Amino acid sequence: MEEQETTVSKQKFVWTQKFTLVLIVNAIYVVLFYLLMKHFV
Amino acid sequence: MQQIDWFILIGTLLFIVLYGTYKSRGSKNVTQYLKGGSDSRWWTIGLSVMATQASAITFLSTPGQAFHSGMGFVQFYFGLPIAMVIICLVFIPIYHRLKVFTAYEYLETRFDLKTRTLTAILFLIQRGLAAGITIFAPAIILSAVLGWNLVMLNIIIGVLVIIYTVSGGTKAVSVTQKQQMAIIFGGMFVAFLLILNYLPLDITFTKALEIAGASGKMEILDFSFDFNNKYTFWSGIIGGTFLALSYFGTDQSQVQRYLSGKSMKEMQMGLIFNGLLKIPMQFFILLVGVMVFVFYQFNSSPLHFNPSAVNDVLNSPYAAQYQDLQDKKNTLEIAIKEQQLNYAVLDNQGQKQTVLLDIKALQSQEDQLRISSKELIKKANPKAETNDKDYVFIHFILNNLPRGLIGLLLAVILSAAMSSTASELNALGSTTTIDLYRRNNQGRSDKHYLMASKGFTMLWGIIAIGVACVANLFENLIELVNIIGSIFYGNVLGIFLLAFFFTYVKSRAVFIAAIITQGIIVYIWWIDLMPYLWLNVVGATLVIAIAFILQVVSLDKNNGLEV
Repeated sequence: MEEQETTVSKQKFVWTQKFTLVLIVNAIYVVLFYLLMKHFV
Repeated sequence: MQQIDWFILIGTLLFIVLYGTYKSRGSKNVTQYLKGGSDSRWWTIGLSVMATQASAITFLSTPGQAFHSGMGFVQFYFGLPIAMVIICLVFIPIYHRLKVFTAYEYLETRFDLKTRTLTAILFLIQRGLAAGITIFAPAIILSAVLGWNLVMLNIIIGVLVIIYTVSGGTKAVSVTQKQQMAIIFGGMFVAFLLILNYLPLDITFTKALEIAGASGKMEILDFSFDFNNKYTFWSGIIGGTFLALSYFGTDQSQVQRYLSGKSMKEMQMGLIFNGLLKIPMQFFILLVGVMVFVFYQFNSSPLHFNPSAVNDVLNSPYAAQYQDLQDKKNTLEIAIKEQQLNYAVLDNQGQKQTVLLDIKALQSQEDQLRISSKELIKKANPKAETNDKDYVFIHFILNNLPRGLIGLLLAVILSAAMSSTASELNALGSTTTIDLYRRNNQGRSDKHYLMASKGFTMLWGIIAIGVACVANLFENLIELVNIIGSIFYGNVLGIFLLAFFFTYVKSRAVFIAAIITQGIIVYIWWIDLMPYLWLNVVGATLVIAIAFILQVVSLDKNNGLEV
């Protein structure tokens, strides 16, 4: 159990550019929807 | 339905079953069967994840949702890309390193057997019920509009899925989902182009959007903090993130899709693919629904789209009143069509505003007629379903699409039902085999577990067909399944978050916290304290908080609570 917990605690979370891209694209979707809404409503 | 429609429909479905069985033949061991040989590439994983989530009801109900309420439903998916990033960052590296077959297997590594068993059983109850509804939901709609036998349809869908899922396991599920997604997108795109083609000559795509916007269908974003409004930007970002984390990170029907990846990078890329494409996909399906709305501004539509509900009222003492409402609607339709054509050709903003006010007044009268029709249906049959959004798109398909394309669109709907059901049966079989059967019956041969996996998958298929066949005995069962999901999901997600991030908290504290949380969540749902989507957030937060408190106030620091 202790060994397993050590393994879990050593887990490194590696951030890559792909993740940043996903979040930026998500934000772009929201902005585009906002512009679309403003234009057509 | 013409002969060509039957030919396309039956040909498409048989092709999927035969292709899936052929491509996945020869699984020699349980790893190949449950992980598909661990050789899936990212696009296969991405499509498989999307096909699993998109059930038939997605393609039947979402356009109807947009028809009645506009594009706001897309906000529900804003949290999904955030959840994909968290899963890629945290969940996948751990699952991959431990080489687990199921998500729940990891919980024994981190906590203990009873926590693993508890979460596995919660999954089996919830997903077993959901698999039945995945079959039942399109079957009830198709049987109502086409007059097909409901029980036979349930059995046909279920048996087709069982054939290739039992035969080929995870590999069969993923290879067929690629074909199914091609059929689904191809069919939806053709339907979209045809709707645009059916609009009057003066109505371009931009003008169609203007008409939709003038009718309130383009109100995509709602930044209000109205707790009772189901679809706002905030509920999408917060509630949606929690829901997507639970679903994609801890529900075996999704976890199994990316565990079949060739490498950790392929698994992550598959989920990123989903994170990037899911919102445009849902936007497109909603846009199809909005275009159907524009189409019906220029064409006649029924007062109520559910034919069996209309039959109920027409065979009751309220038939004359209903017919009177339909006549009034027919008159209104002519006026609306004239005003919409006027609106589309006007350039002067002042004149446009005047016409727009007239249109809104007419649409308001039309909405009132629809409300009155629902009241009459309820009087004629108090048990009748008055929400007809699931029937809008299928009504459009059957009454407006040309020969051949009706068969293709029905193939789209049944393909979506089959793709989701296949993932569910595959995951139910895997969890039963790995987390319950093999865990408690160790030392048997690999072939034995392979046969057990196939047997459990078939058993869950039969149970799903059984649930689908009795589903119409219950009211609002589809919503009930969603509610049951939300009641359990938050708790399960909280357990996983504790496992990943709070190494200080030990197994017994987590187990007791999970039991207490489940009781509280059921009570909150019982007294109807909040919309059920928020139960995901509350459940996850509660189990983390209670486990932490129990760990701090107790305790045996090595193994948890002294109880």
